[in-house]
Amino acid sequence: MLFNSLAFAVFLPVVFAVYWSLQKTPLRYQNLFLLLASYVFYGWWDVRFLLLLFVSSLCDYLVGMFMTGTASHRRKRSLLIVSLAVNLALLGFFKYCNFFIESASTLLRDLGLGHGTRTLRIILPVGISFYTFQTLSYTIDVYRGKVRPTRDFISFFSFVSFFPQLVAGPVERAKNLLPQFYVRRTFDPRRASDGMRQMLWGLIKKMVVADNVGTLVDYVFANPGDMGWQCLLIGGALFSVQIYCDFSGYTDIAIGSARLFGFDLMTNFAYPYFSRNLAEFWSRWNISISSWFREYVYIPLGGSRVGPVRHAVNLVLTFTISGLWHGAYWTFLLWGFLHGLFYVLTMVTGHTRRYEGPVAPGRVLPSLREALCILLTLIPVVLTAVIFRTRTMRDAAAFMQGLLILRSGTWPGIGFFLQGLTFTGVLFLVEWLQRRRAHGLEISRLPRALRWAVYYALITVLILFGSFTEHAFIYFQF
Amino acid sequence: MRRWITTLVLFTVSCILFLEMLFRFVIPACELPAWMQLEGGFMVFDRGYQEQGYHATGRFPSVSSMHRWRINNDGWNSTFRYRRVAGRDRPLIALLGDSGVEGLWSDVEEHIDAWIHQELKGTFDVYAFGRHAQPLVEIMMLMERVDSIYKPDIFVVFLGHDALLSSLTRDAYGEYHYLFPAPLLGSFLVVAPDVREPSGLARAAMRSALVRFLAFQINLEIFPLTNVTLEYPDLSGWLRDSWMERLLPLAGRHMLARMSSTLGDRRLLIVGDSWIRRYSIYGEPSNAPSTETVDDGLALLDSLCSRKSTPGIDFLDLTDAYRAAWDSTGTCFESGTSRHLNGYGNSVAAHAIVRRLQHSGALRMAAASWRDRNPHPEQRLGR
Repeated sequence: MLFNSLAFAVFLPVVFAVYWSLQKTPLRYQNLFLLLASYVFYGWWDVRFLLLLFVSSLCDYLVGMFMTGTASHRRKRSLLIVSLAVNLALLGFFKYCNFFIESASTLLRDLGLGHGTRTLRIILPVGISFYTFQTLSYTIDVYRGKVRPTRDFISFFSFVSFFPQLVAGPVERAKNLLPQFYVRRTFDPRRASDGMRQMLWGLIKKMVVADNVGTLVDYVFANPGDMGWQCLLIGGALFSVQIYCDFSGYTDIAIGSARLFGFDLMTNFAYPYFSRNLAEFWSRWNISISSWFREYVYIPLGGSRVGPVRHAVNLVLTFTISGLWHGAYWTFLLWGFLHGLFYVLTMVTGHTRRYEGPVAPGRVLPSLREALCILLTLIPVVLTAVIFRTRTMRDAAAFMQGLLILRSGTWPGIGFFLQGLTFTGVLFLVEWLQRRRAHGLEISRLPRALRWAVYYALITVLILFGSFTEHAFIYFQF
Repeated sequence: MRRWITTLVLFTVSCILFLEMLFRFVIPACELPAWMQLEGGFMVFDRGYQEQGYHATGRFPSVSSMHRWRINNDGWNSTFRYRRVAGRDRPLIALLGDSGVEGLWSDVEEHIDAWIHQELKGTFDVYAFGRHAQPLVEIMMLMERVDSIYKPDIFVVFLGHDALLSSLTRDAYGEYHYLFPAPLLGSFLVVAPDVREPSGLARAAMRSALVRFLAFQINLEIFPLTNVTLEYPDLSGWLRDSWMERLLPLAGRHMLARMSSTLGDRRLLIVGDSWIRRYSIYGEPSNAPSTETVDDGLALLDSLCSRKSTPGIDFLDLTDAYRAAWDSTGTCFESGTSRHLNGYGNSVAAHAIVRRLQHSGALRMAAASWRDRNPHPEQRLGR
C-alpha cells in the first residue's frame, strides 16, 4: 500500500480509530491490532511477501530467546551466525541472485569459458532490505548485550512490521522502538497534530516536487547520450532533488503517521543539502541506514581506531557495501565506492570538521564561506547521484562525458524545466527557513488562524500541482 | 482526544468548503453534463442533472479554454430546441458524429450545426447528435433512430476518429453498439449495448465543484461510480489483427449499404476530419499525435462511398478546406492543446459542408422534397 494512494487514505483513519478505541483494553490488544494492521498494509502488495516477513521476524525472535537462555559466548555467536545466515540468505536470494548469476556469466563469457545465461524469475519483495536490517540490528544488539531480548512475541513482531516504517525506513534500532511497544501509549494531541503536519509536508515533497521533477528527470535520463550539457546539468541536479524529496517525503509521512499512534521514530533526514562538508552530509542523509552501516559494518571493521591506510580502506569498503545494499547494479556499487573515495579525500584534506547544529545559526543568510562549503559539498553529491540514477555504466559514462566536454545536443529550453526548478526553489527556501526545526512544516508556534491558512494553501497546492498517479517511492526498490 | 477530533472535523469541513469555493469561483472546475442511456442503448445527456455549464480541461483552465455547453429538450448539446417532424416549418439537416459534433471543445454557439444554420440563413433546421468516439455502427443505429423521430431531409456524418475499426470491437465501457462478423451467415450482426441506469450517487457527487475537479481535471478515481468499467463480453475478441485488412472493407460496405437503405431518396454526406493531415498544414507534422488508423479508416470510407452499392452517400475530406482557410487567414483550427476543432475550425468545416451540399444539389433537392410534402407549412402550423 503506497502512502500516496487512496487505499492508504482510507486505511490510516480506520486503523487510527480502532487503535485508539482499544486504549482502555490490555496493551497487548493494541499491539496485536497494530501487528494485524501492519500485515494488511504489507500484504496489500502481495500476500506471499508476508511469509518472508514472518520468517525473518520469527528467526530473530527465536535467536533472541535462545540467547537469553545461554551464558555460553560460543553458543551466542553460533546463534548470531544463524540469524545472519537466514536474513542475508533471504536478502541475497531475492535481491542479488540474478545479479551474481549475470555477472559470473559475463565474466565466464569474457574469458571464453561459457556462453549464455539463465536467470531466475524472482520478484523483489518490497522493503526487504529495510526489515531484514532492522531485525538483524536487534540480534546483533542482543548479542552485544546492548538490548535485552524480548519474550513478548506480539511486541517483537509489531516492532519488525510496524507499518509506517516497514518498507522504506527509517531502519529503527530495537533499543529505540521496541521499548515503545512495552508501555501504554497515551494520546497526545500536540504530537498527533505535529504528526499530521509532517505527513502533509511529506506529501508535498513527494507528490508536488519529487513526482513533477521526476518526469523531467526521466526525460533527461531516457537517452543521456543525445542530451546537451545544459540538459544533463539540470537533469542531474534535479535528480538529486527528486531522490531527496522522494525519500525524505516518505520518511516524513512515516514519522508523522507513527506519531499519530504515539510512537517516535528516529530522524532520518536533517536538511542534508545544507551540509558544509561530506561528513556532515552523511550525518544528515538517510541517518538510520548511515548509522546502521557505521555501527554494524564500519566499527566492526576497525573504524578509525586503526592506521590511516586501514581507516581509509574501512571507509571505502563501508560505503561500497552501502552502495550494494541499494541494489544489484554496478552503478550502485560505483556510487558507494566514489562516495567512499570522496570521503577519504575530504579526510586527507582535513575537511571533516564535525559541525554542531544547523548552518548559519542565528542568521537568515549563510556567510560566503558557508555558502561556498555547501556548494562544494553538493558537487560530488550531485555527480554521484547521476551514477546512482543510471542503470548501466555505459549510460553513466555517456552522461559524464556529455557534461565534461560540454556536448551540444538536445536542449528543450529552460522553459521546459521551469516548473520543476520553481518547485525546487520554493521547497528549499522553506526548508532553509525551517532548518532549525524537525521538519519543514513545524509551525506549532503560529496562531491557529495562520496555521490553518497555511494548511489550506498547502492542500490547494497539493491538489493543483500534485501527481495523483501513485508513483511508487524510489526507495521501495531497495 | 475528543477535542482534537472535533478540531480535526472542523478543519476538514472548513477545508472542503474552502476548496469548493475555490473550484467554483476562482479556478473553475469543469461541469461535464452527465450521460444517461435510453432504451435501445443510445446515450443522451441527462436533462435532469444540469442543463448548462462549461467544459474545461487541464489543471489550470484559463477562461479562454472553457467552453459553454447547453443541453436541449431532447438531451443533446445544442443551442437549438429540437422539434419533431410535425412541429417543424422547414427542412432538417441531421448532423451525427463523434466528439467533434458533441462539441464540448468549443462554445455551443460556435458548433458546426450552429454555423451551418447560420450559413443557410435559417432556411434549414440543423440538429446535432454527437457523442465522443461513436463507432460508425453506433452512428448507423443512431441514424435510424433519428430518422424515426425527426425525419431529417439530409444526413451529415462527421468523423474524426477510426470509426470503422472501432465498429468491430466492443468499447471499454460497453456503451455502444458493435458489429459482430458472422461468417456462417456471410454477414454482420449488430450487437446492442446493455442499458445501464444512471447512478444517482455519482450525479449527486458531481454537483460538487471539488469532486468534479478531482474526478475530471486530475483524474482521481475517488468516485468509481462516475467511471464504471464493467465486464462486458466482447464477441469480437477472437478477431485477429491480421484479418482486419480484409474485414474492414466488408464491414464498411455492410454499414454504408444499410445507411443507404435508410436514406431512400435522401442524401448522406460523410465528412472526414483527418486531424493528422490538419496538423500537417502548419508544417509541423511532428506535433500531430500519430494515429494512422484514423487516416486509413477515413481513406477507406472515401473509397467505399464512391461505389454504386452506396447510392446517395457522398464523402468530403476537409483537408483542402482547412488548407485554403489557413492560407487566407493563418488562424489555427484547434482548441488549445486538444486536437478538437475550436469555433473557427467549426466554421471552416461548416462552410465546406454547406458548399458540398450546395454543389451536389442535396440542399436544393431536400428543399424541393420538403415543399412537396409540406405545401403550406404556415397553414399547417396554424399561423
